[in-house]
Amino acid sequence: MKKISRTIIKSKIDFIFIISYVIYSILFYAYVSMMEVPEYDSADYLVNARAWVTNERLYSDIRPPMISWIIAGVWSLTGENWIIIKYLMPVFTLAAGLVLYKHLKEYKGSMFAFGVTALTFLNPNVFFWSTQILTEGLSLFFLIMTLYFCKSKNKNSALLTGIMLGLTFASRYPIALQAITIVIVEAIIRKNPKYLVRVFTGAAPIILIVVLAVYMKNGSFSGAISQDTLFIFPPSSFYLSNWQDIWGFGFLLAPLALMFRRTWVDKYNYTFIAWFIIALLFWSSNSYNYQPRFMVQFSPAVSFLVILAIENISRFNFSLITNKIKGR
Amino acid sequence: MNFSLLFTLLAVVIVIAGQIQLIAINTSNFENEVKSVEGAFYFDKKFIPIMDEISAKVPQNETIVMSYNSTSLLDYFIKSKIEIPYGVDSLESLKNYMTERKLMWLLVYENVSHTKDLESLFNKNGLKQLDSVFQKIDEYSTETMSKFHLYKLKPQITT
Repeated sequence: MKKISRTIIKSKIDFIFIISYVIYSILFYAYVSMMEVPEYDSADYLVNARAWVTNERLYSDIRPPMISWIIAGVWSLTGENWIIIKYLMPVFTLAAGLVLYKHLKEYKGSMFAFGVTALTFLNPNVFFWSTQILTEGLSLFFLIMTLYFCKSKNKNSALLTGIMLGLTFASRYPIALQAITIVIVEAIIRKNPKYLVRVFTGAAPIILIVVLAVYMKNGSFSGAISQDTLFIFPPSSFYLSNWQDIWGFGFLLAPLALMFRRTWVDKYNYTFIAWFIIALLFWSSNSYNYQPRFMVQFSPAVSFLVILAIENISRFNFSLITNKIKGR
Repeated sequence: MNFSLLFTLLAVVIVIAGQIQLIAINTSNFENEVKSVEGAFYFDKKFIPIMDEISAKVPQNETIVMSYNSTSLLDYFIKSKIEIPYGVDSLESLKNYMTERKLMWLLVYENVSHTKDLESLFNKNGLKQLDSVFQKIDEYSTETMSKFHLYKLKPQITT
């Protein structure tokens, strides 16, 4: 009987998730349809896409090529039309949401997965920047795919993880660091250094192709403008001081999650803790370029910690504390 | 008393209230940001038709000299090549720059210039000075009240 009721509750959450997902997708595309002109940086990717299929040099060689390759690929079938791309790019964000839910459901249950996915994709930064022809949604998708294959028990998962890591790099260079963090933590959890070698065997050819392709096209490869490669110590407090505007009050619960013993018992959580800390440190260490949009890719890690804190609170035995107090 | 339930509910309320507040704040922030950024045309229905009109007037194989082009937006939507007259600091040097390179077309983004020296030339009042050297082809206003002026170098200058 208990089993049946659990199944009903589980499928109920799946049902709620599907309904919410459909509503979210409609709102998402309603916003996309309002966009009459692409964002500044979007135009760089569009012009670069044009350059990739002609003899012209890339307009902006610091831009990762993946998005422009996708655009050029679509245009080769449809003819050059930015409106098609406007509607295509948000698909990656929506797909990332599905994969994140499916993955977390497997490890943490439907309710937990729903909480993390909802909190992540309702974040205005994730919503807004993913509606644009930019690399935010694309890299989020490949990063989530890296996580998905990284945790998979499939025989070829290490190779697939590597391929996804490479594609994360191709879609937005600095986000590869977050993918590498996920992979390294997984290797530590598995106590298997060979896992790292297998992953990087999958990633290296893609990274090499990307670097070589850009180099051959423009005669140089630079992953970012020179100012963006300057780092400072101690890191800036920009993101932590603006936590409320970036993540909302829920962010207060993220550090709380780390205070529960239960968090540290489950090694699965380590991935998200490291993902959050490394990404936050990386972006905070930049010498001058601080933007809430940089938080998009590790929003799932923040949401995970928030929901984990709630789960920990709900399962914590407060009577032990109250009894202790009474005993005194 | 069930403290777990109480604290869980409190945490859930914090998260949901925070999220609602976050959405409310950011929705207005994004809108304001979009409006305040110079040349941001996200919701401007006139921008692309204007670029199409300019493209229709200027032959594709001819380069357009432009007062300001900080992004690739115009490079993407205007069919002709766009060039910024770096080093130019007056109407006279602009005329010489274009004559030497056999460039005929000038597109002015009103009140905006890549250099401070030309700001006075490309503002509303300064544009009148261009009439001595250029023939005004058309003037375009976007919904966000940005103005573009298309000029062609007068024929006698090139001879």
